[in-house]
Amino acid sequence: MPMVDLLVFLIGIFLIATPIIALILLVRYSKVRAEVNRLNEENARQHTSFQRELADLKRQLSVAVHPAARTAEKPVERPVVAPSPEANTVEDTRVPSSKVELPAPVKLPRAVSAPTPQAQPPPPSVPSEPKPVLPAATKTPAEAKPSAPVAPPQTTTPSVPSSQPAAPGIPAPKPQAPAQIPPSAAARISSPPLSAYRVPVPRPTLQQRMKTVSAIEETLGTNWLNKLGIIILVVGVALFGIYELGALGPLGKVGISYLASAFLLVGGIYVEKNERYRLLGRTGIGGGWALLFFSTFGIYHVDAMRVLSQNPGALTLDCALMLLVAVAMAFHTLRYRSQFVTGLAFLLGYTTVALSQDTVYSLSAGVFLAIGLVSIVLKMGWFELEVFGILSSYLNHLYWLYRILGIEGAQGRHFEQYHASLALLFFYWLTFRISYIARTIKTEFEEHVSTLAALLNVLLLLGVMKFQSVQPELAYLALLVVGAFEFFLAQLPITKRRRQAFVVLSVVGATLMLAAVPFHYSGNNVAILWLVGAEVFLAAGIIMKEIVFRRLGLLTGLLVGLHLIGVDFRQLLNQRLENEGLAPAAGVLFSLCAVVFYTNAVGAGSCWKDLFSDSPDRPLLTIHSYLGGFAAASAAWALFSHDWTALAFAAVMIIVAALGRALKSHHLQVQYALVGALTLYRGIAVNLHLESPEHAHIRLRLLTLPILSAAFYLTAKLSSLRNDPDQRTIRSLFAAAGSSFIALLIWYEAPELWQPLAFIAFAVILSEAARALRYHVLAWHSYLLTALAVFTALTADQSGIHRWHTIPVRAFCALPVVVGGYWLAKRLGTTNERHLGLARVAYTWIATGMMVWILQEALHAPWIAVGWIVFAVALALSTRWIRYQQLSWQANVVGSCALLRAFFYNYNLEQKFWGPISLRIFTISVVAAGLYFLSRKAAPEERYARAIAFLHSFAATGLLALLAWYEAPNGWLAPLWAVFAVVLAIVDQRLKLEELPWQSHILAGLTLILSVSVNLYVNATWHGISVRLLSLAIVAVIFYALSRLIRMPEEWRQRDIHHIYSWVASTIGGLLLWYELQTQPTSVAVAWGAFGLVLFEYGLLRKITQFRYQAYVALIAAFTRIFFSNLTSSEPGEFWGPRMYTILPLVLIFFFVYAQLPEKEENTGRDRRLHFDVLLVYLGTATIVALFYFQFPIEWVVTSWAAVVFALLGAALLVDRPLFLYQGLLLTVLVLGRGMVHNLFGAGYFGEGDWQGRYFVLGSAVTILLASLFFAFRLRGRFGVPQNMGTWMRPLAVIANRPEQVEFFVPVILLTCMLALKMRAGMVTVSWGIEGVMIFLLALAVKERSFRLTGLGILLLCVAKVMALDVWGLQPRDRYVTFIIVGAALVLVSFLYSKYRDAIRQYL
Amino acid sequence: MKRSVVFVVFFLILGFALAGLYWSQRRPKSTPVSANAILNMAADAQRDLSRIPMHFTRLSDEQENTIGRELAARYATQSRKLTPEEEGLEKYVARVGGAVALRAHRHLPYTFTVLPDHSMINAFSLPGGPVYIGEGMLDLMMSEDELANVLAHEIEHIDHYHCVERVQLEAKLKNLNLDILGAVLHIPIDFWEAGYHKDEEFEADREGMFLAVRSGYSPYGSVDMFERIAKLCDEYVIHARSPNQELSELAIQSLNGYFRSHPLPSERLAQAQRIIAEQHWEDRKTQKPFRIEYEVHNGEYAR
Repeated sequence: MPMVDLLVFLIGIFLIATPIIALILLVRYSKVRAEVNRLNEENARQHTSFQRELADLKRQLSVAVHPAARTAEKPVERPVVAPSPEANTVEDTRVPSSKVELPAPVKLPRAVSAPTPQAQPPPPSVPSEPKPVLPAATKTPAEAKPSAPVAPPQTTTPSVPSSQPAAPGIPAPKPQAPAQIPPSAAARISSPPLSAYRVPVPRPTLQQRMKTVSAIEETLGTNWLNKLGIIILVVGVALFGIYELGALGPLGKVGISYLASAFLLVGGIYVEKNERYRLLGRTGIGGGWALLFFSTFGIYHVDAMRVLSQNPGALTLDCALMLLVAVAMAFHTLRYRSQFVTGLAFLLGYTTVALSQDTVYSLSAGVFLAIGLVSIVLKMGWFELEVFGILSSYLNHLYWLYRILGIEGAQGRHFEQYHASLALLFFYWLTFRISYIARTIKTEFEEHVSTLAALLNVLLLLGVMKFQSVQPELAYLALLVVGAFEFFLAQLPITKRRRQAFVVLSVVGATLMLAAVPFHYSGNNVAILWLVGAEVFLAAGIIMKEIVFRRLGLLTGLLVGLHLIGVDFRQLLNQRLENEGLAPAAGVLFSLCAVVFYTNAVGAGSCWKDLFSDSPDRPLLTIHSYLGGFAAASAAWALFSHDWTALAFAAVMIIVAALGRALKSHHLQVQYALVGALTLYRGIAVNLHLESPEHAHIRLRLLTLPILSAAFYLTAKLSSLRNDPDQRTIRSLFAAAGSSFIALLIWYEAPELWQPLAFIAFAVILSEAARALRYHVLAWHSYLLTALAVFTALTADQSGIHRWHTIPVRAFCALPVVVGGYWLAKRLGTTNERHLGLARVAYTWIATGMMVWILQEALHAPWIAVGWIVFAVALALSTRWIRYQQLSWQANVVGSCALLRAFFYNYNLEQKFWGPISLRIFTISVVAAGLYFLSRKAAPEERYARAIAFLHSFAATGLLALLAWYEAPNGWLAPLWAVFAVVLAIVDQRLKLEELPWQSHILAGLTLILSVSVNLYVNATWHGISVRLLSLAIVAVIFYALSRLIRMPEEWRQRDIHHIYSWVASTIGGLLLWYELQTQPTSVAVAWGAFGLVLFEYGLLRKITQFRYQAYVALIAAFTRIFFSNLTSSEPGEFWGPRMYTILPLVLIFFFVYAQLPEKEENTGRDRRLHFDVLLVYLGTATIVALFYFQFPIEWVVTSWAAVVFALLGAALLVDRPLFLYQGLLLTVLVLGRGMVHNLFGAGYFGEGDWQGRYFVLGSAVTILLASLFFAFRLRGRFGVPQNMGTWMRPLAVIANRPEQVEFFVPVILLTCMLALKMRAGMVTVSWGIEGVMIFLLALAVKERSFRLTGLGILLLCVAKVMALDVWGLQPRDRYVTFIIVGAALVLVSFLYSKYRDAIRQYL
Repeated sequence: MKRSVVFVVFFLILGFALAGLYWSQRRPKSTPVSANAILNMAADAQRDLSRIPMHFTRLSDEQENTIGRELAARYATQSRKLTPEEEGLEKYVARVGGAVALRAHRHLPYTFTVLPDHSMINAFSLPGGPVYIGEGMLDLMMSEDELANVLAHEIEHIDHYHCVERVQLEAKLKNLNLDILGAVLHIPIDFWEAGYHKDEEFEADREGMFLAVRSGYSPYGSVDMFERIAKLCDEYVIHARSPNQELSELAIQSLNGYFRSHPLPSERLAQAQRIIAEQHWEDRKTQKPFRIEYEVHNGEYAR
């Protein structure tokens, strides 16, 4: 048993390894193949290169012919150059293949330029001469023998001289001469690289590849099964662990830290000496010092590194050590003149001080540091370092204060060290300020850094002083003193030498002094004081011609303005929001400021223009002028109240406008425009008295609104500075404001029914004024007023209280608007032609519109549409008399209104008019007649005639069609419309009216909709006949007629557009069948099929393509229908039921129609291009497949489908059509899927079924499929693979070209799986073995290699299963039976393989 | 083809079609329009495709039992308490079911419960063994053989893994871990009442008949039951009177019908009769009266 186990184990290993080895071999094979391909390409490339070189040599030879000829005439007495002796030792180059296609011989003499009959030994002094070789002269390509390999030296020697005589003029060498020129050497020298001579290896043919695979097959079949052995290699894994150092104590860590710092420091010093690594070295030095300082720091302050005990003495020692280190560091680093290193040293020094500053006196160290730092800064010019020093000094001091006072600071609380602290701060400030003044600046950057330092100095001083503030009330004094001192320092000559320093200190000083004011004064005094300061600075600047002072003055004025806006105006606002009382103090302040600001802006700006010409002086002055305007308006508001405020604003507006016009100032214009807006707002908000009822007279409104209007008109007169669009716009806005106030006055004061008259009268006056003054903007005002007149006319007395008889009075009130409109249209106050035309159009439209409205108001409801259509006809006729086209347009619009009115109102009129004629019929007919009239007579121009005709004619037809809707009973409307459509089509054929066919189309469309949505559901009868049947039959017949009768462009007819009607007719016919055959749903499909058949035959007979298309649709519908009714219609066990006798005719119809679409028939070419033939045949087959699916028991479906496959392949062979073959193959795949998922995996888990259930059903399908091989072999390659097939379809075509493969593999897969799943577990391998043998025999019989490989594969599968499963899991009996049978099968196959090996090879 | 031949064939086919039309119009019984054909095909394909993974995701009997117990416990909370008469009826059902279940393939803890709802003309089963039968269904029965056939049918749903495959399918659809019971148990009970695929119903009918016969009952119990249900079904089928109604019925059926692709009772009846003929059971027509023992012993069973 152990031996058996071992054998089994080895066999198992072998089986496992076999596919792996095969894969490895395949991979290696592919690699070798890729390498060969690469070498081939390289060889081809070098071959080309060689040919190019050869051609080059030929060209050189041809060039050398002439000199050679001359040489022949006059032989040169020069010894022949022989190759060097070393060349003899070089081996010859061989061309390995017989397929060399080289045009020239390989062996070439290196130098044969002047061969002599007698070879001379080469002179030692000339070992070789680099003359060009002449290979082409020795032999032409035609003379070459490609297949001959390169001969050895002794045999090729004669070839060289033999080629020489071919060159004319060159003396032929003697036969023995080449002996002195070893050809091998020549070949070596003249030959290109070896690869150039490689022969291209041809790509392996299909046969060769097959042989390769065959070798594997042979190995599998005969050799590998007997091989036992596999090598298993094991590779070990190594682990790397993390090497942890043991814990070190504080002393050790400090020591390591010091060592590291020493290493960095020493290393940095050492490296720094080298120029290349200087930066690195200095960094090391800095880092070393820092680490050294940190280490020193850590020996007391870091817990993990503490080596000193915690007591004040140790702390002092540590601080001293830190200071020592810092000082040493500073001195050391100064050697390198490195600001970075020195800065690092001072940083650490300050840190040391910060750590040890227990008393204010310990801060004195900071003083020394500051002095030292300033000294170094002034000496070295490291101004960046000073910034750092300023920050360190003040922040160090702040930190000390924080430790004493806490986060809130002093907050007015006195503390002991206050004065000392103050002194220290002032000392710092003075030190750094002196440094700032005394320094010498070399670059602009240094000046900028210095400015930063100066600003930081004063800001940090003020900040820290604020933090330690004990007496806040003295802040005013401190700011004033510091500011004055800074301003004083700025005026020193030493400072003035540096302009930027002067500016900085002057600005800082002035800022501090100005900032001091609010700390001591408040209220209006601040603005006054600042205003005084501003004027002083401004005056000083003007007198001293110092721009800094002037700008300080202007900026201070700006500050005053901000104060006015932010503080004083807010106070005024609060006061005025409470009441309308006057504010004289604020009024005086704002008045004063307004005067001063306008004086600055207008006076100073005009008198000393050159001093204020630059930016930002001029913009600042401009701001002053705006501030003046703001102050003036504020003053007016403060000093006047109620209705008079608007008048005061208006006065300011007029004054500023006059000033602006005198100075031609744009900014003043903006200001009075803003004041004007304010005036307008105030006038509307207050002076209109909106709180009072309308149409009530108010005295102040009557008084102030005309004044305001006059003020705006006057300002409009003053406002225009130039004649440009912007200025005209400003003027027009003011004029509009003036007109608005009058209009508002009319609106609020005039009675409602008189307002239209007042507005239109004012509009007429303005229009006349525009004509008189030639100011056409007023004409625009008249337009708006006209609009107002229209609006008031339309909205007046809406409840219609005032009437004259039955007519409302408002209709009469609108008449002046109509008259005014036509008057204005005639006498417009403008000269612009375009403007004139548009305005005239607008006025006439308004007049006409008002007339329409009056008609609507005056007439009774049923007759409004009639009145309008009559008015429209009148307008159309008027156009012909006065030739004004707008009237035509208006006629069209009024006609459209009549149409809409008739549409929305008159259809509901049920009452009789005359006899049987109802009011609805009469009025709508009149309107329709009017519209037909307008369609021919209301065109304003010829180019619109078509559109007008379409519009009105369509409208009239639509009205009549809708009238039919109302008058005709249900069910008969569709035929009525259809008749109307056909009547229109017939009329059109006689009169050729373009719009009638379209109306006919639309009516037909409506008929269709009605038929589908209504008539299909009508169940009524007429004399016993279904109304649905009658009406839809009429409609269908009319539609078929329309498809022939209706007029249509010829191009459309060629494109079968008219067949829309036949499509509709057929659709209605199909629907009619569906509805009428509803009692038996199974009838519908067959009825549609018969209908489609008739349509197809008619279309084929009459050569009407669209009828055939309709037939296809009907057939598709029939096919679809069977899935919803016919397939499930029969009773169980009923064979000849409705399923059969309703579906089978469809199958016959599908195939019959398909049979009439032969490829040679030209009439049906379009059908084939659209693949209807394919569709039909697929429908036929799908119908059969579906029928069988439901007709047969569910497990037998697969067999029935297999039978269909057999029939399809037979049909493909019989009628020679590939479609059947494709379907057969597709269905074969379906059989496979169905068999697998349903019959095999879908079956029950307990296989107690009989042999029929287990084997016979699927076995019969397998048998039928295998039987279809008879046809499949005959169909192999019959239809070929089209060349132009796409990438994705090509594999399918290739498969279809080999149908026997599909028809073989599908049953084999099914059989194999069936045996695996259905056979008893112990017999599976046996059955597979038998199956493999049978397949192998079949393969031998049909001489098909893939079959043979399949048989072999199944046998291998048996072996694998035996070794992997059966030997372990089978019962003893099953096991040995399996071994015997599988072994016998293998022996048998091996025997057969050996016996027929030669024959098998022939099949390849 | 010659034109005359074409015309002859045309008229022959047209005649055949018109004859089919005539025969179908003459047929007294109307076939309702439905999407059953498509639904059957789709359900068939879906069921077939799901069977392959079912083979490889099989739950163990223990897991199935656990799921069944949990589902049954949840269901027990939803039904009212039985009356004494109903309790006796339940004992009767359990006795018949237990006798039938003895011959099932898998030895699972089958339990039988009566649902006290006279409107429930249905029976269903849960994975692992619980079988439920509605009182409405019991009201229809005339013999114990009918009850045995119905119970055998439900037992075969369990025995042939139909029930548990529903869990597997749902679990796979919801991508659940089958070891987590709670995730499976949220499936509503209605889902189990909805019935099974056509193939599964046929299989349960067929195997149930064999099971009932092996347990000593008549196969005609199944035949009688199917006849009664077929009659009920015919009464409740709605026949559309217009294509419009057809389309609306079609839409409703398509929505509901996929999950209720029961075979028609007539088809089930045909299968039962075919099996009887194949197995030569025509002589086993004698059936035991329903509940006679219960009535004789006044609500108590004598064992």
